[in-house]
Amino acid sequence: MQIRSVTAHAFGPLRGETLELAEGLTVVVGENESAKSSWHAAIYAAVCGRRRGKGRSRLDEQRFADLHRPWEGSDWLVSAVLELDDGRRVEMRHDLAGKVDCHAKDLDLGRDISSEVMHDGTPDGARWLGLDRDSFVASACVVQTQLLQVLDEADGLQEHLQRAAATAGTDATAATALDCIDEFARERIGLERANSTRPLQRAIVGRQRADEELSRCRRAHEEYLTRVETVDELHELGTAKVATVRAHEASAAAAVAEQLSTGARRATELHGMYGDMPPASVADDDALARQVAAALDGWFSRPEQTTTTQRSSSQLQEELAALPQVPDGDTEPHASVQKGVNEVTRVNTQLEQHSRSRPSAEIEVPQVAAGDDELLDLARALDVPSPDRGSVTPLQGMPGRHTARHATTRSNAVIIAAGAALAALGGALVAVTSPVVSVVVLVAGLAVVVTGVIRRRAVRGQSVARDNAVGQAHAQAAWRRDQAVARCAHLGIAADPTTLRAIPVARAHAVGLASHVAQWTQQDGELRARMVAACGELAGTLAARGYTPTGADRDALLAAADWYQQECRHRAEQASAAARRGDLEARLSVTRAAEQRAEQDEQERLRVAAAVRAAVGACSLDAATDDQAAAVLQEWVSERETQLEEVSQVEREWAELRALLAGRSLRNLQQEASSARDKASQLAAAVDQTTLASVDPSSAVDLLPVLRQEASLAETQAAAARGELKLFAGSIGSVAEAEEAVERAAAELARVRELANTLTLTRSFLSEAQTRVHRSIAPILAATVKRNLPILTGDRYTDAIVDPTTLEVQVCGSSRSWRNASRLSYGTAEQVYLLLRVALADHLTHGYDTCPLLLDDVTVHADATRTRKILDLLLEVAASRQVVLFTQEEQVATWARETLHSPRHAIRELEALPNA
Amino acid sequence: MKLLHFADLHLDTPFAWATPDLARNRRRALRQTLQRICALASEQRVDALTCGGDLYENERFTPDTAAFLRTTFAGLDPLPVFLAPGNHDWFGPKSLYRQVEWSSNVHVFGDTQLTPVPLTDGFTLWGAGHRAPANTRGFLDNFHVDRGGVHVGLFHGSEQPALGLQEEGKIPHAPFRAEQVAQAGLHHALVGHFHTPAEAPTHTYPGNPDPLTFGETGLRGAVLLTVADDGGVIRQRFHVAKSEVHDVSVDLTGVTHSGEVGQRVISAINQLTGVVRVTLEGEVHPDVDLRLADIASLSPANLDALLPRLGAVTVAYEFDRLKDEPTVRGRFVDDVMAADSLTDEQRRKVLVTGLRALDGRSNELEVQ
Repeated sequence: MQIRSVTAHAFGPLRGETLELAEGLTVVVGENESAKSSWHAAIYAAVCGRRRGKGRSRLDEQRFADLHRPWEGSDWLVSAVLELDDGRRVEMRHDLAGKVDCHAKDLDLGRDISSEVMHDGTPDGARWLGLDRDSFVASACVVQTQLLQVLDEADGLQEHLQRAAATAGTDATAATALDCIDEFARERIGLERANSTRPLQRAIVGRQRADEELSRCRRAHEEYLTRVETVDELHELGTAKVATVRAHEASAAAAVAEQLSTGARRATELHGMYGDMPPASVADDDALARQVAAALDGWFSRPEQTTTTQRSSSQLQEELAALPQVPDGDTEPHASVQKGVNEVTRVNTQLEQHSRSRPSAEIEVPQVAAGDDELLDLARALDVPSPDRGSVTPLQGMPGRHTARHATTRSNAVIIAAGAALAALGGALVAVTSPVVSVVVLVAGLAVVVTGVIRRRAVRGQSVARDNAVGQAHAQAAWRRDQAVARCAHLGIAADPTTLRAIPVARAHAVGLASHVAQWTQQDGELRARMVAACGELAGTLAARGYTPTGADRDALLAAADWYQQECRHRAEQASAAARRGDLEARLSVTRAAEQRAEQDEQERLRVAAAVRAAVGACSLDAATDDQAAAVLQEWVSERETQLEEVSQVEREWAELRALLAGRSLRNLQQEASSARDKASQLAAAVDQTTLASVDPSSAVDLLPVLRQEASLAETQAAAARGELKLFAGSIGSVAEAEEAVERAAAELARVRELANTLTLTRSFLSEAQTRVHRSIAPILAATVKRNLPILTGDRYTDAIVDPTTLEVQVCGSSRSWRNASRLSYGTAEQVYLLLRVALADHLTHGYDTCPLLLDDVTVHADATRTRKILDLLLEVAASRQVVLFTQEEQVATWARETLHSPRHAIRELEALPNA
Repeated sequence: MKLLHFADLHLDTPFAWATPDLARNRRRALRQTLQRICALASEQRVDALTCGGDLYENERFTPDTAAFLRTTFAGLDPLPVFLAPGNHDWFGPKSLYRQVEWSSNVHVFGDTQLTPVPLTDGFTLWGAGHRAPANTRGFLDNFHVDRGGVHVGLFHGSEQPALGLQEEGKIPHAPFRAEQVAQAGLHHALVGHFHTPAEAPTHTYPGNPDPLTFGETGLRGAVLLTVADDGGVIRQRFHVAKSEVHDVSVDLTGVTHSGEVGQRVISAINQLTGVVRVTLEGEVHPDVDLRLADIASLSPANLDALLPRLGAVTVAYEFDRLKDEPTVRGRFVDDVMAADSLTDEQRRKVLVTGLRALDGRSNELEVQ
């Protein structure tokens, strides 16, 4: 885009003036007060216009208005003719005061194209550059102060680049925005830390406290409800207790009323019988009654008539007199005597038995000159039969063996016969059953026959061998017998085995008999000695007991002992009879006392009978016998008791009447009973009938004190609980208010957390955007600087880099020693800055029209050399874009006149404004 | 027979949207509304005052509320007052209904079975109450009146519409269908639970008599029912609310500064009284520092409270232009607008916050 001309219809000091601009570099030269700044502002205003938003103007807008509003008149109007890169010529017209007469008009087509660039209510030509009226100022307009800022501040260039990268220079840098967010987060959010006093922690604590308060209120409310329930229960309990008391009172009153009513009825009845006078007393015959009573008491308590079947005292005395005296001497045989008798008797028995065992006559033993062993060998040799009787075969001599062999032979024959029968059966079966079966049976039978034949042959062989061995043994035995017969003959004894064997036996018997006789004789002596000793002992014992035997032999001693024992038995019987004396004497004493009591009882009975008779007479009654007299008296007493009972009933009823009335009149009693009934009815009507029915009337009065105490206690407890509840109710707080507080606290916490989240997200996006933009701008800036730096610095600096993180620019020369661009010389820094501005303008308007540059006195503080270099650079820049340079310096004007000969460039010299 | 019916007063309910003072005032207003209802009952010389439940909230009622109710209803004596506990004021062991020593004219239906109270010869009121905060079965299920005459039911229940429509946010309690009323032998049912008023042929929902929140529609209050001898009813609604609650939208489109916002709000509410909730909408200039607290402080004397909130407010940034800027700002706007992870609300806040940060508006980074 190129600004072909600008017309200040009414702008600051300018009115109806037009400034034509070249397509390349236009140097606008003017002294002070030649309206250079006004033209600079007018160009900007004609291209971009002013915002037409409602409300108060911003400070920069207000300042712009203050500086450039026309000094006279109300109009504030500028216009410009632009030539866009697409060839269109456009007129921009801005009514800066009313902002109504504003348009962008296509001069070729005559159409209003304001809508293409409408921004904040008015057409903004900067939109064709991809900028707006704010960013156009920051990107395309360079004023002296900006240059100074870059030069004077160490990081001014870097900060400027960052601002341009962030917002096209209109506002803060991204770093400042991030710092702003961080600071805001610190102040308005803070950390979630216990000791933090910032909003987040406060909101968290506030929420916790609100929750706690709500919990407390809810617990208190629940506690309140529980206490209410408890108070209700206590109240109901008290009410129930009182009701119980009332029921018991009603029951007691009913009982009293009933009692009074009954009393009144009874009193009425008795009063009707006796009136007000007491009945007559019956006690005139009390003395006679006492006599009769005494007589009857005596009669019925008289002693029984005694009858005894025991012996009388005289009989007992006679029996005592007949008793013997106690005897002297032993009443039982002395043990020593009995022992002596027993010893004599035992020894005597042993002697008699020993005599019966006396050995018999002596045994006769044959005299043979041979020992017992030889005699027994001869007997064994003679036991073998004589050979001359040897027609007997060995088998005959061995009948057992013969029998065995015969049995074996017979069994074999049976086997053969059975086999034959089986074979025959097999043959017979051919006709009646299958051939196979018959053949099997037949073969089995034949096998059995063959087995029998074989067995019989084997038995026969064994018999022949045994018969030969037996024959040899018999021949040897016959020889030994012959030798034995010869020896017997030599000894002179019979060759008989029995005789031979009897001789050793007889010898042994003779020896034994001799030994037995010697032993018997010794024992007999010993027994007889013992008899003598026993008899002596017995004789001494009897003598000690006062009995001397008639002789010393056994029989005399035993007779003496028998006499002694009979004497003992006699004395025992005598002693037993004498022992009854004490018992009889005691019995005699008792009998005598009983006989005395019987005598007394009889006298009493006579006395009682006399009294009864006397009483009968006193009563003018008759009786034949004593018993009849007593019976008559009993009847008399019975009749009198009946009379007395009747009198007593009257007296009791009279006393009852007196007690019922208790000093009152009958009428008063009746009225009292009526009143009691009324009261009882009233009390009963006031209580629950079921409760009343459950009360035991008999115990109602007794229970009332306890029940009244319980009721009073229950009512007191209920009242106390009610009082506590009232106090508690004042402290429970409002659940609804606590809930509302929680809601507010929760909302505040949510607000802070939401703010924290928003700031975090914003920071994240912003930081990321900064990084990406810086990375894209950095190489563009570096390339621009690198391309022009050698020319500007006379090859002193040949290379440049731009840090994509901070946009810090560094340059270096052939030494490759990098230096921060902000710390270069003023001239170099200015040129680098202008290059970067051009590069930024290219970057920010990339894809849109070419952005012109409007420079206002940018060389005013530069020396001649620096000014020349700046101008050369601007001329270089003007080769590709429109550059408008306002200046008041003669050096610049001179340079322009000398340099700007091309029709692409122009010099516009302003005249000083006339004095106002 | 004339009956004045109301329901769903919700004494002691919390007002989370209100400031502490305002919330207290609102709860006080609920009580005043009940007093108005009682005054209306006397003025109209009704035969009975009926409440269809949710008279108060069991979890929150204060001891003072118990005393207030006893005194208020006792003031109507001998006019009969019939109370049918609902799901919020259910008739439990610790219920306020149990602890208050009601005057003799007050009758609380504490049974879940509809029980009769003959009001006159031939006119019977059948009432039932909730005994639990939930899961109460329908009172009309398997129920039928057992005598002749005119019968009116009183309970807290959810009418189940044939089309399945239900008041938003309401959990069905003790449900019934409209046809069950007649099937049970009742000529009409006086009910509570739905806060939106309804006058169906078979039943009447009076609606909450005093506003509980914003956006409530329909004429809510107390309903005077005149029951004819044949069971037909004539209904007349009375506005009894002590409170006024208004919901107002204010378009901020075109405003360029916060003062202008205040002017628009004031002009929108200057004819109103009570509590006004203002919903701000429209597109505001980026320079406008929109702070709800500042707007709330503008509450004029004729209002009890001004409660501003943000509706569909947008900031007049030219995001589409900005995102094409080859600057950090352009990149930032482009990235945020393209971010799928953000909700629209987050996107708006992040964009405005970032742009304000880049504008150097360091004290205006909290976007509402």
